[in-house]
Amino acid sequence: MRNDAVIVGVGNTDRGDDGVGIVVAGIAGSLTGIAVRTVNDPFDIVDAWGFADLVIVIDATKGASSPGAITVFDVGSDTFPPAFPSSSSHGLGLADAVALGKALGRLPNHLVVIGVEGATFEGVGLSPQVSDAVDAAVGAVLEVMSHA
Amino acid sequence: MTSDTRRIGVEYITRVEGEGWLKVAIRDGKVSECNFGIFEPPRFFEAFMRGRKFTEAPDITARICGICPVAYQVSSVQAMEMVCGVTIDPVVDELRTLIYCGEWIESHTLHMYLLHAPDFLGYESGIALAADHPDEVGRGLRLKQTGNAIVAALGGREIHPVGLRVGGYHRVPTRNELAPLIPRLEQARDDAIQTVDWVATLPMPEANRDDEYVALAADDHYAIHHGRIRSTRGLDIAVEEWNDHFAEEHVERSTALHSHLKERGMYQVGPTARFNLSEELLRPVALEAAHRNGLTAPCTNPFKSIVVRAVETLHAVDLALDILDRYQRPAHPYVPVTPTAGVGHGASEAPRGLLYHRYEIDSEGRVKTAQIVPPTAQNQASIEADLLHLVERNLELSDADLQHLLEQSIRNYDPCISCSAHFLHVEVDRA
Repeated sequence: MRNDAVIVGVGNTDRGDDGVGIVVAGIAGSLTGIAVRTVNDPFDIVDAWGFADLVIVIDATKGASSPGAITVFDVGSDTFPPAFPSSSSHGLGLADAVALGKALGRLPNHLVVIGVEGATFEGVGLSPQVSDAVDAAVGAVLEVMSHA
Repeated sequence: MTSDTRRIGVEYITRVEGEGWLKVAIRDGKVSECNFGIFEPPRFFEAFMRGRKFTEAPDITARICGICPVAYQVSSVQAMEMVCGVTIDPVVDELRTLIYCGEWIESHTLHMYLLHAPDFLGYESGIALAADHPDEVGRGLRLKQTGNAIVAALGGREIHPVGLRVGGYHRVPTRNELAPLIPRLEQARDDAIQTVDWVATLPMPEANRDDEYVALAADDHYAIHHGRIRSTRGLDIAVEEWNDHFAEEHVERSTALHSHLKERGMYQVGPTARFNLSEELLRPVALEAAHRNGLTAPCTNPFKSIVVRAVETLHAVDLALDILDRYQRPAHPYVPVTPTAGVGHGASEAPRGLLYHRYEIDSEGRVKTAQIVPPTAQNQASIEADLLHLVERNLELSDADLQHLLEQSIRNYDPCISCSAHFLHVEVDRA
């Protein structure tokens, strides 16, 4: 178990597929024993990852691709999209949170963002398409861990 | 559009929760139209509270706003406790003050550092501000996290806390469970002092409003969730007299109702109103910080609301420390509440101003009617008056500069537009 890593789930479980980040983070944390933080407000993401060396953030995306599709951004090696299609209901999205962390000099050494495209952002619980994608998203987290 | 006509439309106002618009039209050098509107869909909360159990009110109404759920919970539980004739344990009541302090800290800090300060310093966002002022924004995030930690400790989680219930709390923490908050709050007190000193240095536009300020006020403390409704022009009523003195009306361009005083018209609520009514009741450290930076009541420049927020943040941090210092876990987290048919009223000071709830319930505890008057709806008329005042005095500015000034002005009120929507019953005349 790595104690210099954090899995951060972003979203709201009462807002349909917006909760997928929370669900995936919880399962991945149970399987790996890595610390899990869950946040709703993207402003709190910078605090959630603290000073960890490796941070994996899971968030729902909206308008990026077909429901259930998984996208992995390695912030260290990829160019982080300036408009990561976060599903946040607030004015600030995940890309802004990462930019804020960078401005404050508080980006972790290795930051990976895993996006799961949502189908609906209403009601409680995940849609069937996104439920079917949870295992693959957890697998993506484990894949990142295995190479980190 | 003719050559002597300027129209400035801002369709999406960023850095406020929810969405709104404003329209300003200038004709022949004079303002002919100045409207601030909301086009967020109605939220229907008052309607779908009907028929629900009285015990559900705090958890349902908390969903109106992700920034100030505690305010909705406290106003609603106090209304239900009034109608049922229940008095809660004073220590449990003080824990409500404590979680409210957490909400003031997190909401005020978010607004000051990441939403409003960029306006004063010419940055397009809090992120851009952070790039040049990382120490200040880092301090703001640290402060906000301390507010979050208080809410999580008492509410079970940071967002949409679930700890409060009619009659008290579902569970109250032990002294040891709350102890980790103390060193964080001691750090937060230093951060809050520096915050007051920092925001007081921001370049402050000149503005002066002759407005009536309304807030919950008490004789012996800076009111948060107990007191009478008072104004700077002599209003002094019990919370249950609300509808005798205030009225709401629908304005076509908005899905929120606009509030006014029946006798005198527009008024404003919020930090500046609280400060103007209760300045001398601030915690000494907060009052000293205000005076050190030249802030005294009455404060009539709406732009100085950011300084008042900083002073209130310091007040909340210091009050939270005081509550924690005295805290002894009560024997019972709540008192049982048996529903009683009748009407109850609750009012508390949400971060952005007075929040009034009124419920009528039946003998089985089912809600028959609900009325929720959020602060942003009360400030709508005042916001528009500010905008008109500013436009008239700044016609020489370019459209871009005027737009910036007007957006900054709207943010003076920290308008949580998500809070400001009511269900509206519409009668259609087909004659």
